[in-house]
Amino acid sequence: MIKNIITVFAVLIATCTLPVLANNSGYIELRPKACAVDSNKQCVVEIEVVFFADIHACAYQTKHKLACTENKESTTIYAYEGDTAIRFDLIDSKSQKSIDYTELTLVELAKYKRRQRNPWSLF
Amino acid sequence: MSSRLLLIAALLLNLASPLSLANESDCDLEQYLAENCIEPGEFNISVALGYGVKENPYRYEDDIDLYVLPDISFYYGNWFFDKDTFGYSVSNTASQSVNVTLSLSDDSAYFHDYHLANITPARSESVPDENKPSFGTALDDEYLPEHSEELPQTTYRLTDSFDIERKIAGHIGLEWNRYYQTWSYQLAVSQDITGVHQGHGLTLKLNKFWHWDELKVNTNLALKYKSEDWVNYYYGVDDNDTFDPNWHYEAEAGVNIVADLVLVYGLNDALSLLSTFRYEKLDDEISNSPLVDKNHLTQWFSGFIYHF
Repeated sequence: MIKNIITVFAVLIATCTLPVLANNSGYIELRPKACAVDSNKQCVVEIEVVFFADIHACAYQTKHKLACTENKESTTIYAYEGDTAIRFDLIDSKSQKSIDYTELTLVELAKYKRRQRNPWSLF
Repeated sequence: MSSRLLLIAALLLNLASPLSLANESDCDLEQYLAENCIEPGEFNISVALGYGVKENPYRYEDDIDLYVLPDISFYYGNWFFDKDTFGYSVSNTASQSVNVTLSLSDDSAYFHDYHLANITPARSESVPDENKPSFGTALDDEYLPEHSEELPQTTYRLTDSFDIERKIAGHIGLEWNRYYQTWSYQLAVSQDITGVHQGHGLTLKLNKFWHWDELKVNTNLALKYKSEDWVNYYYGVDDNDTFDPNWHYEAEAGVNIVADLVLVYGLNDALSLLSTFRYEKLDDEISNSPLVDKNHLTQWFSGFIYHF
């Protein structure tokens, strides 16, 4: 039964995401993808920027080139200290068009409360 | 047993006493990224549409089809409503919380369509109505109680007074939740305050969550103790149900073992995929009841979540 549930879930994910993946020739991700700000609303973090392209492409933070790759997953570390969200782009070196982008979200955790129940848990 | 319950409650309150309601957030980045955090003062409303089945332990009740699952929560100050629980946080810090709660007995959900635990169900037609026992109906062997081997193996007739309706009980509870990174555990005691079964319960639950980009996984393992009064009310059979002593059954306290798995995959800000699976091993005191024809229960649901 549980195997069937996971299979159905995997098929649903594949159905919903494969058309999107098929159109992309690369991706860029951040780890972590959010930064908790301190009491001065400052974010201080070292981010792992993970990116891949099946063509020659480079990762950018705004207009600053970070690193390049071609047909393999690469990782670069980016240190950030600031109070605004920042954007990372994966740019096709030849056409200079954006293949993918992502944003480091700043979170003011003081605004939030932890839920006392697990979302969607059945008990 | 009641004195032991009071002792546990006192222990939980004692754990809470040195803790203050800190100004710092109780939500950390891991919890936030796993979508376990909420903005106080704002309603969090999500609805999952799909299909699932909740197995019914009672042999005379059909399984419950699930088409819609809501996830509604509202937090304000130390008060909260989350899923099926009203609560007040006596203490709430990054590492632990102590809550006083009000909730309904999950056992009664099997008798009541519009119980909070099974929103918008429809009765499954897995058992044709003509095969179900009713007043004065001759029964097949499958409907005989398990301890009825000594009964004549021809037909068996229920008395006209046979009735297995059970009321919804309301519980007050005291729970202690301890958090450590992506792990948490809960110790909770509860007591019926509606006079329905007058029993009490104790739950020990372990929770672990993971998140990878858009995929969130949440799993629980719990031991749920229910007192004799509680189990006997929902699963015992006495003169109130039938005057035939062959059906009478007196249940004692029992411990169910429950595990669940929740998978959520975010497609965009408004839409996610959801799959849930729950397994509950029933204590022998419950599964041996003539009203029950299962020794474990499963519940599953798959569908799309819409976040309002």
